[in-house]
Amino acid sequence: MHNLLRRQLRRYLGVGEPPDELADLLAAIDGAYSESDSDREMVERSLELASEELMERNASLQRSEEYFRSLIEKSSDVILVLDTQACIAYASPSLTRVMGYAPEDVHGLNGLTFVHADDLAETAESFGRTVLGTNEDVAIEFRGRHADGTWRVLESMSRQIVGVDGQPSVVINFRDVTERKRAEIALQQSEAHWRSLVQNAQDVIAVVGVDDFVVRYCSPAIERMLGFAPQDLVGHSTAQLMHPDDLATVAEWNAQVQNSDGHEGSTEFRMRHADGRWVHVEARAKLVHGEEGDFVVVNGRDVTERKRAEEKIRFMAYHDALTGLPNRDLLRDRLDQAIGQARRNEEHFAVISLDLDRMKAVNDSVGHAQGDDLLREVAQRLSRISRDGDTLARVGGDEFVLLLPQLETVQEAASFANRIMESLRRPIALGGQTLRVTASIGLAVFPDDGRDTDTLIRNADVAMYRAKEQGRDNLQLYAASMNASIVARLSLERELIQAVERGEFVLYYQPIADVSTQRIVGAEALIRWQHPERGLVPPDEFIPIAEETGLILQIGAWVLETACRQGAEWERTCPGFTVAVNVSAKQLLQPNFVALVRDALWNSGISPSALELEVTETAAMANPERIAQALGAVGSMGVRPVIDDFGTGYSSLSHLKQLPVVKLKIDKSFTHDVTSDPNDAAIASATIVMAHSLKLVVTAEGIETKEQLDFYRVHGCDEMQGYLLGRPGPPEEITRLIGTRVPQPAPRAGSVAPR
Amino acid sequence: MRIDQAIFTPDRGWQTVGENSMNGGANLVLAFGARHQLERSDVLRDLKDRYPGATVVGCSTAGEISGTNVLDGSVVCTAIQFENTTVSSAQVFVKAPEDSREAGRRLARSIDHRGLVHAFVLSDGLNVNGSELVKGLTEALPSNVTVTGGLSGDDDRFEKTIVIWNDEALTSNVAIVGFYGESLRVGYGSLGGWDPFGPERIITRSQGNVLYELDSTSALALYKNYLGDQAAGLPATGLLFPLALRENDESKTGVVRTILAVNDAEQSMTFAGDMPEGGRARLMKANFDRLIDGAAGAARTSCQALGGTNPDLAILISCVGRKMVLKQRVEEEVEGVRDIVGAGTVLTGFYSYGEISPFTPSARCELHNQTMTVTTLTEV
Repeated sequence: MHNLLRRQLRRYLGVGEPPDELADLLAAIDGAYSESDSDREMVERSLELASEELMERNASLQRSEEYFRSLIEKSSDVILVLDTQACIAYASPSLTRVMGYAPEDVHGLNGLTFVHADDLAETAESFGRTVLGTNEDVAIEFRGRHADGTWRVLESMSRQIVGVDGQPSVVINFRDVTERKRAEIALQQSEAHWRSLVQNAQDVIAVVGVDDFVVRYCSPAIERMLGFAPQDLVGHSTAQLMHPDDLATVAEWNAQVQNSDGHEGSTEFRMRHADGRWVHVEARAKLVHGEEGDFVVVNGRDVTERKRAEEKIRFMAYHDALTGLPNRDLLRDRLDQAIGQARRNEEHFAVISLDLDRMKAVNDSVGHAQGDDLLREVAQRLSRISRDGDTLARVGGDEFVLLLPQLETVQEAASFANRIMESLRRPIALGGQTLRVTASIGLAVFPDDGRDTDTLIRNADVAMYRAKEQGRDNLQLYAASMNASIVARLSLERELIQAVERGEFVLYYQPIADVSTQRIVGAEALIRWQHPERGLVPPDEFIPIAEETGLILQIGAWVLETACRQGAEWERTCPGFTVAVNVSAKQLLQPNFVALVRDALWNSGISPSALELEVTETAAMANPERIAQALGAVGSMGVRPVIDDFGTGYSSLSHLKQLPVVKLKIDKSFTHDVTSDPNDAAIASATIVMAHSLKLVVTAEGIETKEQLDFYRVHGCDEMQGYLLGRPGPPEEITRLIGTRVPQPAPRAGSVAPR
Repeated sequence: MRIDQAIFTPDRGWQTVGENSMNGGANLVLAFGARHQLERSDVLRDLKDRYPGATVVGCSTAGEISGTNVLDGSVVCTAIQFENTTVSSAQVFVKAPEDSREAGRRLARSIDHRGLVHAFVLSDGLNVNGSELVKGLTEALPSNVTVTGGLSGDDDRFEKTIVIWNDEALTSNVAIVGFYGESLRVGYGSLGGWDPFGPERIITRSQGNVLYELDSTSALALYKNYLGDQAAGLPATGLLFPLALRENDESKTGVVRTILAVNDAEQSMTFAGDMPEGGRARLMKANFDRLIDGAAGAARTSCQALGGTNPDLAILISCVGRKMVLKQRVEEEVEGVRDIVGAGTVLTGFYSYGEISPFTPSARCELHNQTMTVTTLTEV
């Protein structure tokens, strides 16, 4: 039972235990007492707990407030709270540091009284805006008076807040930006300064994109360098102005600049001037990391003049100033190259040392100025006959060296030297005078006469001095053993030229007879050289040289002309008589050969059918189509083409069939053994059958015996030629034989042919 | 409108309250009783036999109201015979608390909306999120139709609640009764009488109607601290400290939320309605006088809606939390209602785990806790 109820029972009823009749009531009262106690305890407990919680929250709020207060008080910015009348309600301690005032000294003062008169209107206006409560930060800059009397530039931000008292107030935070402003102005001035330096710089200063070369800025100097105004280039790529050959270099340079970590890289390239010419530009560039990405600052200058000067110096270093020819240094360089190449390709090349004869005397007589003109003329003549790839160098006053690479034979070099001497011999007209110069020439050949540059030059010189010793105006080979043959050959060349000029050639004729009638039906013209000292020179000794030197054309023309004239004469006394002329492939293939033949026919009056042109089987088969064509051309004029020396050229019947010839001459080598060697007999007889089947006339050559003649007669050969009938001889011999039988009866019995 | 009332107790069986005035059959029977009594098959069969053809709805309680008496362990049966009013009813099963809103919508749609005057709802008290249920109901019902009713109770055990629909006793169910007819007048009012105290706390962790943390500390620990020795009586003793809830810092008015269950393992507490994160919660304590005045105030509001006519029937649904606080004085709040409605009005009702009603005729229908809700009916 509840203590209170028990006490009440004792006090008011005087009993310790409740009477039974009141038990239910008292139990209810007891319950109500207990419930009440329980409720009260709960409320008391709740009150206590809630109080504790609130105390704790209060303490936490205080800590929080202290924390935020310290944030404000420690802030480097000054924080001011102004009431709506602009009176200072709070100033943070930093005011002392920034403006020199103690916070308590300014408390209650109107904040606007510290503002510079010129800034007052704007400041007051912005304060008014803040008071109206736009709920936005209002930022302004104004000058405030420091306690020391100076004006400080203050950057401020203000905002309306609700104060502790629930009233609106304005919180302003500001900072002293005087120094920063000063720095900004200094920076602006500095930038203006540098900008003016850039704008007025002699060099072009440009800012371009890293990869695209697009110009972002360009200084006015560009106008002087490339003829474009800066605004013409800004926004465009400079790549299109670059010389195409320099693009790779520039790209490489650009890559180098980009990887160089801010170091400058320089290069040279050509750019197109507005007027079209190329300007050499020397440029340095530096990669700069900017806020809007990387770019390249390029510093460029026009070095065209300098390049030109350098070019000239470089040329002068390797060339002779007087003639413009390579000098000794360049020659040595080329020689080194030639040695390398010749080694690789196992080739020969020649070095010619040339010294003009008696130049001192020339100089003494005409003076140095004209002496120089002479040297220039000599240089030009030498240049004209040089091939592409040859090097002609002037290595001393009147000394020249020629480098002739890729030679087949020593003879080629000798011929070249010969041509030099020929070309120099022609008179030179100088200042009203006519001069004649000669040169002494020495020749050395790689690798026989030297395997290095020095040796080759020295040995060519040795040979040249030998030429001087030999009386000048001649060629000497370093390899003396070769001199004799070379010299002989060269003099033969020279003599051959003279022979053409002097008409030292004569024609001999060998008779050709009909096998069945044994009468002369024609003659083959054969050339002989009536050498003034050596007598008659056989064609084997000079025709190859004539072919090599090209004299064959002149000689051939003369032969044709002469033979036709002779033939015409014989034709008049003996109609049907033919004259045969040998032509080489070279002659046959010369462009004007048909015209040459026509002229010869025309000039002599000979019938075309009385002229036979003999081409050897070997020559015909070397170039069958073109020879066939040429023979066809003369054949169409009525001239009779003939195959000579048949059997030596390994031609097949099918080839022969394609040649437009009318006659075939069996080579004398078959005739020689035709009576003793069954093979040759078989070949000769088969050839006759075959030729006849092609409707060709067959002539057997080289007939020297009666037996040979009989063989061919038996086998149906048409014509014959050989010592048995007559040796080659002057035309009078043929004239004498015409109308007679050949061979004429020999004095010995049995030598007379049957019939 | 004729009304008969009878009370069943195990000792005495059925006993009529006052004189039976009904001639002919009843339209509607309301049965509020202790769960164990309602689970007896004979009680429901008796009702069926006694009022054939009537719609029977009811639920388990934490105390039954008959007249000014508050009973425990009984069944209070009120049979109503309307003159010009008809009723229809339906029920819906709620699978899980999170389905409550959809269940409310389905339930609302399952009765005819033509001529519908009022809806009375009785819901399972433990497995349904009451505030979501009410949202679903009001969404699907015509806007001029109000809902009153409550969440069934289970004394202070919080173990199992049941809803009666005709002859079935159902768990996890909600039953609805629709009233039709132009002569029916319905009034309603709801008042609390609790005072918030101590600091306001922020709901920092919750999920639906399950609360974990206030101000980032365990809500359950807070309750245990305040309850002291009485913490052993959780979840029932939790009703001594309902929570005043504002949805967020901006909202001025709030609702009262009462506890339904605790989970020591999860350190969580389940409330009769949503506990949204970011919401502001404050502990409340009872004020005896205001509790009793509140009941009278709810009755006054309810009666005013009837336009001065004394109601024939008043259905009182009051929170179990009030009963626990008022203890022996619990009948004073019923008497306060009687003083307002007058002697001629039949009173019935029960102590619930949640009340459904607008605070006032113009307000939104909501789920309440710790209130006295009075629904008054009359026919004119």
